[in-house]
Amino acid sequence: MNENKSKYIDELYSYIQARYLWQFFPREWDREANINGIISDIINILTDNPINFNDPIEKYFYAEAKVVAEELKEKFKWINELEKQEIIDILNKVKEKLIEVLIEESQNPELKKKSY
Amino acid sequence: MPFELLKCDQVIRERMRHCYVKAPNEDIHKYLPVANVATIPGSLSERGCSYCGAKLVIGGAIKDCIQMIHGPVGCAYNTWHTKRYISDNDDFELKHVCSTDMKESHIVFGGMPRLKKSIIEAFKEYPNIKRMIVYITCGSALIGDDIEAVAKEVEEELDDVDIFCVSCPGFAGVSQSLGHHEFNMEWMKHKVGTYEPEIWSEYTVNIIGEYNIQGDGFLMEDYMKRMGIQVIGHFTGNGSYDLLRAMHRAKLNVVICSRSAGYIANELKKRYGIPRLDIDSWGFNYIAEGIRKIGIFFGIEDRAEKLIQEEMEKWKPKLDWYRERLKGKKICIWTGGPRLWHWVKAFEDELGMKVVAMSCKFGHPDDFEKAISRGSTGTIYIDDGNELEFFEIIERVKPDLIYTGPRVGDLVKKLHISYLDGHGEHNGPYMGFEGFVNMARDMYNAIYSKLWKLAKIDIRKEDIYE
Repeated sequence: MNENKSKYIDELYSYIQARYLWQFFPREWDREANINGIISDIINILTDNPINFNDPIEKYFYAEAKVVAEELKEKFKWINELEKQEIIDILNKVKEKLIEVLIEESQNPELKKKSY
Repeated sequence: MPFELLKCDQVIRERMRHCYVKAPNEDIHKYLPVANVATIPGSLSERGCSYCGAKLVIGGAIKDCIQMIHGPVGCAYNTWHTKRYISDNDDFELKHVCSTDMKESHIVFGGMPRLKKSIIEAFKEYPNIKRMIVYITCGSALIGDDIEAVAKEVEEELDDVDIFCVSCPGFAGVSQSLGHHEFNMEWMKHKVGTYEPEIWSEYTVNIIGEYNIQGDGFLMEDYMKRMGIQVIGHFTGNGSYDLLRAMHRAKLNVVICSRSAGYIANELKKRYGIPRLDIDSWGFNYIAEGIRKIGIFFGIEDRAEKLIQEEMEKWKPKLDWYRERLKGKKICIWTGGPRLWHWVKAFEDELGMKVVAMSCKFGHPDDFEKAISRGSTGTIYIDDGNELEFFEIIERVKPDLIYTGPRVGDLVKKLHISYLDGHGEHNGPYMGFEGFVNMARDMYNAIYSKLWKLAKIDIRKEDIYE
């Protein structure tokens, strides 16, 4: 899998970046919460781990994650062949890349505004 | 090939940072056009003003209140008739608008008595309407008219009326965007939480940033109703003034235009813990995805899937017919802000078209982050484009069709290029399944119309009847 890992990460990152609005929320704290919450739920769904909702925001993360997880399984068939740990590793790398591009190295000056 | 200085911009070199051409393997953390900054002197901007953002875009779509514009009469007319947001209240909001018609004497001696008289007169003229929005404009703001004090006085005198005031003078901010912001934040501060709605479903949403243009919102409301979901606040298409005061009672905020109304969704999340779900509502894939997410959130996926299946069966064959005739056609999207990123993949993935240039008037950096992430390489992305730039880009990309507003649209028509109204939606609705078929039909009719060729003929030199 190792030789394909970086290709898999790039494929998922490109697909997610071009598709979903939750990563583009207006402030960095919103982006961080969404990326962490939703990617974490995607991992749990793809690795058959149970998900509990403690509040409506967590329920929202799950709704977003479930749609992404279904799309990934459909569009990237190789996911269905991976071990659980491999899925976790790849999606954590995708998460790191999203945080790097959309928050840490973003050129959007409005991300750091204190209010909406 | 990151930022590009167009030939016409050689004398305004600052414009380079506003024009980006996407190259392979470039990402948005490397190049992002400058946006939501003051228009550069020398550039003939197509932007509107802050008052326009508050009135024309947001407040004007509310169906059951009087629109009172405190300023010269032109401010009322120019934000009245160009947006076709219909309602189920006999289109009251489209048929009626009030102005205090300020003159020199009011500017010199103060306009507050005039405003008070106008408000009372308007409530008498429309005895069944007990709600009003008062907008300040450049002149009334500059002389310091206190519209809130006047509104409070009238509320005390008439007792059964409720008035919302928006401080949105045209000179505030860099474009209409600040007017959106002002309306959102003031509504949140003064009105949300002041009314209790009747709840008939355990599934409740606010639809935010949807203005019922040509009936878009009716389709969205229909989808919600078919899933058993109650729409409390529709911000603001076909929206009811009092139900918008009750937005705090929804369990989910479904956001469509995040540029004009994301602010109130953020505040509702912060203050009441209501999640914000952003969806794309143009294109079959997108609307299906949005409906699916709402269904999952409420645990009613079965209803969502049934709705999607019904709509797909009804509309997919029609869309396929248009796809065959639209694939490969080149299109420009030159609109306000969010429609760039809402539409680009729907056009490219579902209709096989190629979006060759995108421009927005009042977009912020996050609009470009989304547009560039979704758009193709080689596509031109431009912020606050001016006429000369549009001419140059048209010459360069040679589009088959341009989706834009009436201002740039007139320019496009004179060049005999197919144009569709991207703001007012030519023969909409455009949202949802049915709407996307309408959109494809409008594009087909525009591109294949023989009128554009006929318009090019110089009838002084050629006999068109031969």
